[in-house]
Amino acid sequence: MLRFAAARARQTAIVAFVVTSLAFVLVHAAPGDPFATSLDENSNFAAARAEMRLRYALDLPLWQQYPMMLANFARGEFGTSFGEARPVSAVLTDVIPDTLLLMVPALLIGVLAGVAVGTWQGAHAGTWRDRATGAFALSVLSIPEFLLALIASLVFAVRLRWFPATGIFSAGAVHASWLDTVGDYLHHAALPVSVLALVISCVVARFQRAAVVDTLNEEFVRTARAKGAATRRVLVHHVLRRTGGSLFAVLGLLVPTLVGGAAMVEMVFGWPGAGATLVSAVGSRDYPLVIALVLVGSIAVCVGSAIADAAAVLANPAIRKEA
Amino acid sequence: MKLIGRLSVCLVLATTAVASLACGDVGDKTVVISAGADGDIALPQLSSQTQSRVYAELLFDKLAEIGQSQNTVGDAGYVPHLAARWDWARDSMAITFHLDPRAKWHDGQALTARDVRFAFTVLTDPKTGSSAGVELARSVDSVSVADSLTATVWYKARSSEQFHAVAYNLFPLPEHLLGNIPHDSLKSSAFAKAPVGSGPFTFVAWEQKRRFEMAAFDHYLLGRPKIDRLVFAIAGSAPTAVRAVLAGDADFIERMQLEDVAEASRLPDITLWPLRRYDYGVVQFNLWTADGTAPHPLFGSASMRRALTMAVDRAALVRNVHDTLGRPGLGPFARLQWSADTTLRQIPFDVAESGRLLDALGWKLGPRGMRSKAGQPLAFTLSVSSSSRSRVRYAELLQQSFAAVGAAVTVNVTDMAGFVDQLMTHRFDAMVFGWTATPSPSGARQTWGSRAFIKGSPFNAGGWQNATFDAAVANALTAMDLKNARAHFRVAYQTAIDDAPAIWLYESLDPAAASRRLVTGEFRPDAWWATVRSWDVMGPSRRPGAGRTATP
Repeated sequence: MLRFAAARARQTAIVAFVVTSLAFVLVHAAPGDPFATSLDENSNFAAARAEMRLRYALDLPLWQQYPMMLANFARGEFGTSFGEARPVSAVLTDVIPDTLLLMVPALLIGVLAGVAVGTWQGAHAGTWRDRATGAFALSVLSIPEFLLALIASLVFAVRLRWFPATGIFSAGAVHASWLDTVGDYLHHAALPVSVLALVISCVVARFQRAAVVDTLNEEFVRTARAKGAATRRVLVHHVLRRTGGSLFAVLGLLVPTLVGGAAMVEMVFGWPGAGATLVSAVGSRDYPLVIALVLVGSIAVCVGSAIADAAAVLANPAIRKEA
Repeated sequence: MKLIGRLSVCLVLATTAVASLACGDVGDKTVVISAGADGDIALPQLSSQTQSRVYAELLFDKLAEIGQSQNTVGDAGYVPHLAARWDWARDSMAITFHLDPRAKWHDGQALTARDVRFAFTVLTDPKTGSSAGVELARSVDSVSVADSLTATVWYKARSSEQFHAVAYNLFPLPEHLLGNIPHDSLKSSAFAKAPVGSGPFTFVAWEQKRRFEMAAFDHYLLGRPKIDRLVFAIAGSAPTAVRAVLAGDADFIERMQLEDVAEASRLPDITLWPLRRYDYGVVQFNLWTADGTAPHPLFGSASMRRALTMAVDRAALVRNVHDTLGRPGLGPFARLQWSADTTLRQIPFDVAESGRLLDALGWKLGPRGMRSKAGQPLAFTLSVSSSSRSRVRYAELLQQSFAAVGAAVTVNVTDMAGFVDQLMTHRFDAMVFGWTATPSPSGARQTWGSRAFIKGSPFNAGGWQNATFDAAVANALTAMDLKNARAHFRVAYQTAIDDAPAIWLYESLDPAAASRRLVTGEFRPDAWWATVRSWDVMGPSRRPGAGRTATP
C-alpha cells in the first residue's frame, strides 16, 4: 500500500508540474493584457499599465518569470490575484470549500442514485422499463452540463420560483440559527447539486447496469439462487459486493469530468466556487489565479483518481491479488 | 434496493422541509442589488472598475452633486452636499466651498476643509495613480484652507466646466485615517477594502466576488436613507445576475440583457425602467496599418468610410437589436450631453450612392456580387467582444449590410481581454464597441482627439486625426458662455460625422429591472446609484428564493 501511495504521489507531482507549465505557457500565449480589460478615460493609461506590469514582474521575459513562479510555488506562495488585489492563497481558501459544498453532496447523491438505478436496471435487463431508463440516462448525458444547468435554472428558479437562481446563501440574509444557515444552503444547493448529481448518476447507472448484468450470469450467483436466496438478498449480498470494484474505477474516471462539469454549473448558478473563479480568471487574464487553480485542480484529479483506484483494489479481492 | 429508495425519499423530504422552514429572512428594509461583477477597491477615483465606483460613491460624498439636468457648465443645477454653499471669485479663478457643519465621517469625526485639501493632494499625486486626479491637476492649481469649514479651490485657468471638474471629481478623504499611508500604497491598503466614508451608507462587510454590504448612515447630513441595508450580490456574470432578479433572489439590476426583457415584462412583481444612458455604440474604422506607419489600404480613405457608412441602415439595425430600447447614434456624443445637437447633417443610408462611390474608388462588382480592385477583394475583418450579445448581433447585421454593397466582412468574435488587446495594439480593421460618455462633453477630446492616438491606449484606437475637430473642441471647452460653446461643438461634431472615422451606430436605453416592493423614483443618467439614498421599500418582507407575491 505504501508503495502504491508513493507511486501515486510521484505521478501527482509529475502531472502537477506538467499541467502547471502548460497553463503558464497557454495563459501567457493568449492575447490580452491582464490590466486592460477595464477601460476608463485614463489619460495616463499606458504609464499605469507599465507600472502594474513592473509591480507584478510581468515586464520580465517569460523564461525568467517561469522559474520564479516555480520557486514561489515550491515555497507555497501563489502570488497576488490581479483581479481581486489580494493573495491567491486567500482566494483559494474562499473558493475551494464552496466547490466542495457543491461537489461532495453531488457525488454522494449521484453515486447512490446511480448504483440504485443501475442495479435495478441490471436486475430487470431487457424489459421496457430498463430500456426507457437507459434511454433517459443517455439523453441526459448527451446534453452539455451547461445547458442542463441553464434549463434547470430557467424552469425551477425563474419560471416556477421554487429555488433561488444564484449563490450559496441569500444575499443579505440574517440567519437566526444554524438550522437557518443549513436550510438556506440546502435551498440554494438544491438545483446545482441536483444537476451535477443527475449527470453523475446517469454515468454510474450505465456502468453499474453492465456490471450487474455480467455478475448475475456468474456461477456464484446461480449457486446462491439455487440455494434459495431471495433476489434482494442476492443483489445486496452478492452482486453489489462484486460490482464495487468496477464502480470505484468508474469514480476514478469521473473525477476529471466532475471538476469540469462543476465549473460550468458554478457559472450558471453564480456559485462562487473554484470553477467559476477559474473561468472568470481566464477571462480577465489573471495569470497567478489561473495557474494556481489549474494546479489545485490537477492535484484534486490525481488524488481523487488515486483514492478511487485504492478503493477499487480494496473492494475487489481479484484485483487485490493481481496488485 | 427498497432501502436505498426509502433513504433517498427521506433525504429529499428532510432537505425540502429544512430548506422551506429556514431560508433566512433578509428583512423589510434590506435591498439586494444584483451585479454581474465585483469591484476591486472601494475608494473614490482610484479604480477604473464600474462596480468600484458604485461602492465608493455610496460610501463617500461630494462637495456638490450634479442635478437631474446634468448640466456641467457653471454651477447651475448643482445641489449642495458636503458644501452647504460656495462663492466664486470675481475673476472666476477661485471657488470657496463652505462645508456643512453637520458633515461627519462614518467614525463620528467631523469632516473639515483639511480633508478637502488632503483629497486634492492625494488624487493629484502621480504616485497615487488616479486618472481623475490627472484631469483635476490640469485645471486646478491648489486647494487652501481658511478655517475648518472653508476650503478654496484655486484654478490654473477659467473654463466653462471648472466647477464641474471639482464638484464631480473631488471626494474629500479622511486625513485622520489616511494621512500616514503612502500615496502609492493607498489602493492596496486595508482602508481601500473597508473604508470609512462620509456618504449616505456605511461600510459593513465585503466578501469579494460574493457580496458587498452597507448600512444606512444615521447621521448623514442630508437625512438618513430610507432603507436600512444595501447588499450587492455578485453573480459572476451578467446573465446570471439578471436571472437572480427574475427568480426573486434580488430586488434590482441596473441593466437587463435585451433577450431577457420579454421574460421580465411578463413577471407581475418586476418593473422595467428604460434608463436614459450615456452609452453609445460605434463601428470604429482603423485608419492605419497595424504598425502605424502607413494609411490603412481601405479605411485610410474618407470616401471609402463614407461609402460603407451609406451602406448601413442604422435605424433598421437599431430596431432589429434594441427594438424601442435604442436610438440611432448621431455622432461622437450622447444625446444627454448638453452639447448634443440632433440637427446635424448625417450621412444618409443610400445603397445606390454607396455603390457609385465604391465604383468611383475603383472597386468594381464581380460576378458573385463582391467587389475587387486590381485583383484584391474588398474584404476586411469586423472585431467584436463576446461580452455583449447585442454588439455581436450588430456585427452580424453589419456583415449583411456591407455584403449588399459588395464588401466581404469576416466577423471576429473574441473574449473581452482579446478584444481589448486588439484595441490597444491597434491590430484591427474595424470593430464594433461601445463608449460610456459622461455628462461633460470634454470626453470627446479623449476619445476622438488626435492626441489620444497613442500606441497602448484604447482611445481613438483608429487613429483619426483632424485639426478642425481638435480646435473646435478646445474652443468649446474654453468658451465661457453656453451658446458659444455649443456652436464650437457643432463644428467639431459635424466634422467628425462628415469625415466618418466611425459609423455612429446606436445609443442604448437598456432598462433597469426593479422589484415592485422598491420605490426608486427617477434614476440619474450618469449614476443610477446616486438616488439610492431616497429609495424606499414598500410591501411584504422578502423570503429569498421562496417566490414573492406581487404587491399592488
